[in-house]
Amino acid sequence: MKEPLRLKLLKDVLWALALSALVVGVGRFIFGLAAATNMTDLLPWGLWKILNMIAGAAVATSGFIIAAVVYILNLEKYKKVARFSILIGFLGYGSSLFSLLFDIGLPHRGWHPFFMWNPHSFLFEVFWCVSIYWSITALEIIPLITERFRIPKITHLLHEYMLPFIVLGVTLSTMHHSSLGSLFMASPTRLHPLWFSLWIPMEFLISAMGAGMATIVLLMIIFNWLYKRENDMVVLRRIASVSAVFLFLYLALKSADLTYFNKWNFVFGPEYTWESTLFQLEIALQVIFPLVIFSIPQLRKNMGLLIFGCLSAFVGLGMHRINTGIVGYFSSTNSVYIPSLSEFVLSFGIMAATTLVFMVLVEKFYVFEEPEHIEGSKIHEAKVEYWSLTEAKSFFSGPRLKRVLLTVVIIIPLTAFSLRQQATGPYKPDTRLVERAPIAMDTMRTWLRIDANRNGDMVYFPHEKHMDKVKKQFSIEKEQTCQKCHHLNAPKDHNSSCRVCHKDMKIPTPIFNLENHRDRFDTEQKYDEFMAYNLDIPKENYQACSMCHEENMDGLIEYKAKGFSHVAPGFEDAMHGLCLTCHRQIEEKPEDPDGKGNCRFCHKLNPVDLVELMKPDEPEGEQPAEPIKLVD
Amino acid sequence: MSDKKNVNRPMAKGILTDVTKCIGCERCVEGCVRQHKLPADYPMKFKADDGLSGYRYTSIVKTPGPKPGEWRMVRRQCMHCEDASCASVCLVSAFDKNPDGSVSYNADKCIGCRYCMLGCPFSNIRYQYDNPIPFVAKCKMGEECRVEGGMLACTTACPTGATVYGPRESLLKEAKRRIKENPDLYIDHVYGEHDFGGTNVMYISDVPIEDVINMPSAKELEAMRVPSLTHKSIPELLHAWVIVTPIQFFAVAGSLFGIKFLQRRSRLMKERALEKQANLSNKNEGGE
Repeated sequence: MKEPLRLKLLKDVLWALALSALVVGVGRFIFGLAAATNMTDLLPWGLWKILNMIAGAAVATSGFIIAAVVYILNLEKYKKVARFSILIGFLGYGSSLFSLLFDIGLPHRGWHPFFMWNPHSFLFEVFWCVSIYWSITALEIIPLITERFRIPKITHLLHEYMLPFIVLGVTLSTMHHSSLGSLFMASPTRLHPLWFSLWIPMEFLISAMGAGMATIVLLMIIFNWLYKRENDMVVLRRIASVSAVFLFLYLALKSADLTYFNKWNFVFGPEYTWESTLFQLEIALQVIFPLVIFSIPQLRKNMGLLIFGCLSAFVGLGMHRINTGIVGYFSSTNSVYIPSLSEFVLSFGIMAATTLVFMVLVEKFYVFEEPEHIEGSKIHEAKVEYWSLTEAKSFFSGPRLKRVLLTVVIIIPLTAFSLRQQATGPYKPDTRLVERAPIAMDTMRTWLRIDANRNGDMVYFPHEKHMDKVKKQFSIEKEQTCQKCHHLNAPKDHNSSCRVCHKDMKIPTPIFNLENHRDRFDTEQKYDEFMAYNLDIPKENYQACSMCHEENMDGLIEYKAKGFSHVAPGFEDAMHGLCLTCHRQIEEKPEDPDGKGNCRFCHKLNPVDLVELMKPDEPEGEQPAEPIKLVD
Repeated sequence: MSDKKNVNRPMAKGILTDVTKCIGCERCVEGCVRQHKLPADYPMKFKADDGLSGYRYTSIVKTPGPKPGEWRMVRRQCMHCEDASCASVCLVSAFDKNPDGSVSYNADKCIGCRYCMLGCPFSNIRYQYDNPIPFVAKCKMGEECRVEGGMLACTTACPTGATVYGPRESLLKEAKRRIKENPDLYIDHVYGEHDFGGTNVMYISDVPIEDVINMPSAKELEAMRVPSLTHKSIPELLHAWVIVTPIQFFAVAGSLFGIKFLQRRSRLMKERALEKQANLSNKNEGGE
């Protein structure tokens, strides 16, 4: 049997999408969600949940309505559509649940809700309803298989005892559709008021019913076109007109909601935002266009308009779900979520795989009608016999395989590229434990805490002030100062010594004269080395000041021992810690005539006058190279 | 409502953060990091602006002060609500409200659906997206946080006493005392006293910090059409809908069975009528 071109092309596209989804799916499990998705902490529900699960469930809703109509209201006319729509329900929910396996963080724990209960949770209700409903749809489509393989006993048995299951399925459907809406009631302050409402469960249920029926018409038309079957226009138009009733109900409910909660302001009035435009568009697509087309018989008869109406309802329904689940959260969280390429690929890939499965079922099983509708003699001719080995062989060899291989070669590298950070590999946080406080914990602080002697003794460092000071003093750009060496995004910069910043620490200042301290250096060579300290040496070779000058840092430790705090709250304490210890020691010696331990030794007068007054105190002979100006 | 709950939890403890005292040194963050042995955080570009992430349970956020050029630092962390939204929405009940006031997270139950993050009104729950085996990250305020003296690692680390740990009742009293003594400085509102049903982490401040801690003011709640959240918790708001579910189940199932039953009855009646007619006609035929 030769496949027509449209089927061939469609299947190739679907295969390509499904295979790319496979790559993304594997990548997601290896590298984690961050590599595959753009979800953030503020917008934790992304495309896979909202589009595949919540919008997918809404689209696949037709199954339960048609089941209710056919098996409970006994309207035989729609029996032709029943099997098709129940199968869509089964596959739609199956693919939704399958995509959830990629979305939730720990899919191997998917069985947890069966045993760990929280009846207060709406998600718990959704989980139970959906899993039971899915099992029931599976039960409902068993006749499809038993008929195909001619096991009339089971077929008969199922027909006999199907009613309670169908009732249960329909009930659970209404329950989980409304619960899917109530999921979003949990965020009243974050979801935009246009989509948030305390009536959202009813809105979800009714909109799913209205647009779900439009979707079944659309899918029916598409598959009839694909397989060149006749459209049963009477049934389709009938479904469309019933859909119009529900669409009207939804419109009425939404208007009542807007009135009751006084939200018309958001739609037209003074609180108009970009969300209002989106909302108007959504309502127009989901309700207004289809409602007009479906409710006027003259328009309904026009095939093009009917398709447009169904398509519009379908798109509008998806838009409503995405707006409720994703877009409505943008303005309150001040963030935007645009799904990554890999999210799109996996989303549509799973849908494509589902469609492929559906097409296989359509081709090999009696999907469009139950066998009794085919005239007796044609039953065996209508379908190919059991799958034979040769058929399986032809499926896996020949032109199909070639096309698939081609897509594998082209699509897989493309898809793998869509995984974010693919070039550099996924981001891996530094797993070393933080043993000492990092120099800068965060980048947005005015004050940083710097580990002064790498013993956990901290110095408060007014970052912005210092930046300004350095800028003024050397008239250079911000990027060329401190940030040049240790940019703040290096949060664990333990290796930089104090001297990286404080290279002028021991350069003569109005208070401090290095020449006076020349004898503190063991040798002249060390003094020269100190003066010529080269900051260009590799970062790994940096040493903290205290590595050599333990005695100088005593002050800070002493300060700590006194029990005030082990925090040096500023420059003052740092300098006191550095100088005062030595000065006090010298003071105790008898040969100290100046009283070096006295505060007045350094703080002779207020600092402004010090600049002038220090000069006479300079030791005779050598003048310091150039006193550095202090800028406050 | 929150008062009633406190009666049930007399041991409830909490944290009071005084924004006017915070200097933004992040010692609380450091204390938390050391206590829980958290790894280095990921770079800013992957994080939310507030600094909380899958590896940071608390953070400091900078916000404009009362005068231009001035800044205030606000400590962000889980609010440990009295009636916690996360505990109510989690489908495997991985969140528990404990007698000591904390809301704890049980990683062994979690399936990673992230509904708690959607449900948290303060967006204080974070996720380890980069981890192939990810968990939820959130301030614990429990036994694992304690250092010597039974205090928390974060509050003991604070050098200025801006954030303190203690029984919720006495913290509330202290907060009100501070506001009373300095009415010109403070805004007359203890953030978290009644908001969202009351929280165990409370704030007092001299600048409005609603936007920083995502706790909408009464006016904003009015604009969002949920004004009752100034004193009600979200689970309370939605409580009615949880009850509706079983009612819906029995109502829908019952009515469907009812329809079926009526159909069968009317069919039987018809059949009986037909039978009667047939019998009658038979009799009539026989009679003729």
